[in-house]
Parts: sequence; structure tokens; C-alpha cells
Amino acid sequence: MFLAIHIPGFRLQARLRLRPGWRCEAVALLESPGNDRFSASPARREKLTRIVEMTAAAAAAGVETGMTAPQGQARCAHLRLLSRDPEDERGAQDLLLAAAAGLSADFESTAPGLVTVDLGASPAARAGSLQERLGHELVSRFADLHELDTRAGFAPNPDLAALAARTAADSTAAVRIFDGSPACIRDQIAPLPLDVIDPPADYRGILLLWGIHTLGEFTALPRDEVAERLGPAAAELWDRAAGKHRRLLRLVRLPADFSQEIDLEHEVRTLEPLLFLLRRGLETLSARLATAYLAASEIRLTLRLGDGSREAFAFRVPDPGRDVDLLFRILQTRLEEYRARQPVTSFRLELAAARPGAQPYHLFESTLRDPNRFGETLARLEALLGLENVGSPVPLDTHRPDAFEMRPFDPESPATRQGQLRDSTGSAPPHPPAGLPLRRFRPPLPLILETRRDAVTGLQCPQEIVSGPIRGRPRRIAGPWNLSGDWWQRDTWWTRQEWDIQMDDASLYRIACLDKRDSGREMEWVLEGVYG
Amino acid sequence: MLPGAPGHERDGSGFSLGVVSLDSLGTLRPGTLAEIVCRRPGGGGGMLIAAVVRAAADKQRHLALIDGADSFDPQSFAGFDTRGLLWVRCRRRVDHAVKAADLLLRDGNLPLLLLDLQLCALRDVRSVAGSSWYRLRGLAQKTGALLLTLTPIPVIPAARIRLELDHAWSLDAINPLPRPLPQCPLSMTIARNAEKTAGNAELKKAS
Repeated sequence: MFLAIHIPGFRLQARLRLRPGWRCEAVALLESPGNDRFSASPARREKLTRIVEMTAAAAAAGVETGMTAPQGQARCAHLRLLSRDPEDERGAQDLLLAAAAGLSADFESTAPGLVTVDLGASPAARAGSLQERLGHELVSRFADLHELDTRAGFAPNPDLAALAARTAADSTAAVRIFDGSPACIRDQIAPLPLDVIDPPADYRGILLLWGIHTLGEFTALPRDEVAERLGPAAAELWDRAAGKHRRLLRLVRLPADFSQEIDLEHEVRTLEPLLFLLRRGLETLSARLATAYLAASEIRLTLRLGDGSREAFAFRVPDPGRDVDLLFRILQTRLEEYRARQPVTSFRLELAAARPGAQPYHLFESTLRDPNRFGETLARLEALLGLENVGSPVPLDTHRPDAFEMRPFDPESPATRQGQLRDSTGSAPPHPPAGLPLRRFRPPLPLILETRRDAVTGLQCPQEIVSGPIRGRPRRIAGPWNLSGDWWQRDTWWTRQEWDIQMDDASLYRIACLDKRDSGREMEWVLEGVYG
Repeated sequence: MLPGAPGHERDGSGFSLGVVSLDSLGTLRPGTLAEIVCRRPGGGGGMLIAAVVRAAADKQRHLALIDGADSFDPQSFAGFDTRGLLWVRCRRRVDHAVKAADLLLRDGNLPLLLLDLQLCALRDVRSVAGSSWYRLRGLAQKTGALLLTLTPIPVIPAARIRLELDHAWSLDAINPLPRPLPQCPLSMTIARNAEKTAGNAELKKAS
């Protein structure tokens, strides 16, 4: 048994997905011959542009296919006009394919707005009541989730199933089933007009001349004589009119492209409309992932702004999945704190694909209860504090004080048993384990010190702190420790002298003397941190 | 979860924080908000953080350090893996630190949170509303997380347990330590323990 899912007025419905409020209004879709915007002058293109599809409200107002835009607007003053958008159509077609992939591994993208599924030996292929229920569930799901009006048709062969779905559009029923013996099926489709099987223009003309207008009238003619009079192609047409034509499905093998690029008709200045469009994009891309049995491991978004510049974002999905609500929440949380310099004119949305459940589970390591929820929490923290303020610290391979980098927190990365700290290059720590930990003041706090030249060493030793967050004469002093680095690079050369001091309240501090390279002055004393 | 596997102790027996004096008190359990008051900047707050970070790394447990004053020094905490440490740098914004604690408690994924406000300005620490602390305590109870908060003065009315930390070292102890972590002792006293039954609230000194 085969199932066909059809979207009537596919091209217009694909455009109206992004404008759900227009469905009840008079809207018409325009198309130029070949839909090639660059093949003729604007005036010529406008003459050739015709209305190809319209909403029920437009049809009721007297708008007809084949009219030009002015003609349509003459019939209906408040007629809204839209052009075709290949990207919207591709998105809608992907939704159909995703629905088909959820039912069977064998399905075909028969035509724009039509997919055919081989139900094979599934339970829905056997029982008529199950078929009807499945059909209604599909139609409801498309209406509720994707705001697409669809029809479903069931039949023993692909072409008949497509016929059932297409003709269901003309009736009030959303689901049509052609079932039973060949003779019974032939009787069911006999009243249908000839145009439902799309006869070639020359055959159509001949058959109309013969007074044949329905499938039943056509199949009343002997098949062999039709083939003899009109040729072998007419015999295939007769088989389709009789519901007997059988063919193999052209099975879909989807390309691994999970990106979508949308040029906006109007600049977007606020977040809400952008989020609406992004959610639609996520639905489409998630559907494509579903057809390939893949999941999203990262969301990549590039915004093009009004001044031509671009802003790129990449958001990791902690536990790869396809749940649109989850992906949307990750996107929304990050974008809520974003402030664009200019309005957004277009965007590119891409989902990096991964196998679902690809993250290995380490039995004897603690894992998070809910990685996706944790990912959202991290996103909220980054939105609150800034990306650079949330993560895991990794010391850099340098003796420069306070040199580290922040890496994204990865709770699933395995820690070593020995607990060896790895630096940014992955090798053993450059510093031996230190004693009392230092708690830094960022930035270091300026001090004004009195110093005295030591008679033995000749060094300027701190004597008393006269101004700063701590004051007084240190009880004990240790140092100096002279440090320098990057001396081979003019811009990053640094040098300093560090002292450890103990004040009267027994607190231990580190102070440092910075040379003019760091501060632009001859000498600068700072309070670096407190020990303990 | 297999007995002995990481995280098993979450189910009942409390956290081992790697500080002998703290663990010996036996007062810190999951679902608790505890305040550790360290009045002097160098009174042992850094050592406490180091011990907890080390213990979490040894047990391969995740730990969040909400650093109110952005004072954590990665170069000092050498010798153990910090990949399990989520460092949240609040850059002296106490309000952000409280919000971060709220988010992480609601998340419920991390069993241990360390909120370090010790080096933040006193007026900022005092400005946190009491209701905020009660809310954090409720979240900790609900999710079973342990929230340890370091403060420069007692400011958390909702803390079930309040400890006073004041340890002093000599200048010679900066490098190297007399004993390696975690055996290095910290002097602590219990200032409040709402977990104890009424009538048994005398101070104990642990060393």
C-alpha cells in the first residue's frame, strides 16, 4: 500500500507559512515564465508575470489564475501579492520528506508539494481504518505544527495514491482511500475528470474531441486500440486512468546539507520577528536531520546587518538532538542579550550534524543528570556575565603572572585519574605545585610605598605602605623575586619584581613592582593578591 | 549507580570536602546552605577553596565556583585537573553572583556550589536581601545541592550552618606548605548549627 501526502497550492502555502495571519485574506502568488528574474527587462517581466495560485478569499473575490497583478487587483482591491520563494518551498518540501521518513525508509519526492511513501508491510498498509486514522493524524500534525494544509491519499500503487491525495483536495475530506479489487478501484476513480492524470496536451486535445472528459469514459475504450491509434504512451496513460499503472519509487537519498539562508523582505529591527523566522528555520532543518537519522550538535547562525557586516554565532548543543523546542531555547537565550548595531537584512542558519547519542557514557565518571538543561543554564550564565566569564580555567604555558585562558566548560570530558593539570598545550604544568594559594585582585590595586635601599644588596626594599587598600609597616618581608618574559618581542615584553609581605594582622600579601614598560611610569607598586 | 562509583555519596552520607576539620564536624549534608565567615582576607578562604576544588577533582565530581570578586588564581591551584571546575567570574558584582547561584541551583545538575563573596565590598554583600538567601536555601533543599558561601561578615540569616574561619600562616608557609593539601588543617568554629536539636548549641572547637 502507498501513501501520498499532498499540499494543495503548494507554492503559495510555502510562502504563507511565514505569514500565518494572511491565510484568511485575499493573497495571490505571482510567477514569471521560467521564474528567471534576470532574463528580461523589468517591464517585460511584469507583463509576463501571472497569478498562479491564490487563497480562497481571493478566488471568492473573482481573482483567477492567469491574470496579471493589475488585473487581480482590479478584481480585488485589497489583494496581497507574493512572489515565489525557492527557499520557502524547499523548507516545506523538507517537512513533507521528514514526515515520510518517519513512516518508512522508502519514500519519494514525487513533485513539489507531493511525496509518496511505500508503507510496505506496516500495519497501516493492511487495515482501512488504520489508514484513515494515520491520514488524519498526518493532516492534523501538519496543520498544528507547521501550519500547512495537507491531504493524504492511500492506494495500491504510487500514481493512484497521488491521485487520491490530489483529488482529496477537491473534497471536504482530508483523506481519500482507493481500495479493493481492480474493478472496484476503477469504478471509484471513473467519475474523476481527465485532467487529474495530467495528459499531454496533444492527447488531451484528441480525447476532448472524442468527447472524453472523465477517466471512466477513457477507460471504456479498449486499451489495445487506444495504443494502436495514439501510440505506446497512450497505453501508459490508459493504465494510469484505470489505476493499474505500477512503477518503482524514485527513492530519496538526501544530501547532507543542513543549512538555510533567508533574505528578509524587510529589515528586522526587533528580536521577536527574527526569532519567529529562526524557529521556522529550525523546524525545517530539524526535519532534514530526521530524514538522515542525525541530530544537531551545534547551531551556527550568521546575521547580515544593514551596513553589510556579519555577526556569527556558534552555540553547542550539549546532548545532540533534534528537539526544536530545545534548539530554539538555546538560540533564544543567547540572542536575548545580543544587541545588533544595524537592522538584520538576512541570516544563515546551519545545524552541525552528529549521530544521536554519540557522546560516550563513562561508567565510572559522574555525568550530568540533564546535559541539555545544563547547556541552557550555561547559556543563561554567559548571557548574564559574558562569554569570557564562564568556563574552565587553563593556565597558559608562560611564566607571566595571571596567564590563563577560559575554555568552554565540558562536563563530559574525562578527567585523568592522577589529576594532573594540563596546560593549554596539553603537556605537564609549567609551574611546580605552589604552596599557599593566592587570591588575586583584578586589576591589581595601586599602592604608594616608601622604600629604603638595602645596605647589603643595594635593592630598594619596601618599608611602609602609605596609601592603598592596606597600610602600615609590614611585619615581615620576603623577596624580591625578579620575573621577566617575552623579552624577544617588543610589544609583549614584561618584567616585574615581586615581594611577599606579612602585615600586623598576620595576613600575607603579594606586592609587585612594575617597571615603566608595564605602566608607562618609572616604577609602579601594586597589590597583586592575598595568600591563604 | 554502583556503590563506590562517583556520586554515590550524594544519596545520603554527605560530602567529603577535603578539609579535615570541616569533614570532622559532620554538619555539611546535601541540600544545605552553609555560611563560612572569614573576616580577614588571608584567613583561610583561599585554602578552603583549594581543598574543595582538589577534593572535587580527585573524586571526578563537578564543582561550580561562583567567584564574586574574580579572585581565583588558576596558576595557584596547580597539580590537579580543573576541567571539572566551572568558574563563574562575577567581576565584583554581588548581584550577579547571587543570580548565578540561583541559576545553578535551579539547574540541579551540580551537587556542590561554592559562592565566594569574601573579597567583595562589605556594602555590596550586606545589600543582598534576606529573602534572596532564603530562596537559595529553598532551592538547595529542593535539588539536594550543597551551597557553601564564603562571606567577610555574617550576612546570611537563612544559613542552617555558620562557621567562623580564621587561620594564620607565617611568611615561611607561602612556599612550600608544611603539609600538602588536603591534610593541612584549618581552624574553624561553629557559630550556628540549626541542624542540632534545641538545647545542645554550645560551641565546639575543631582543629
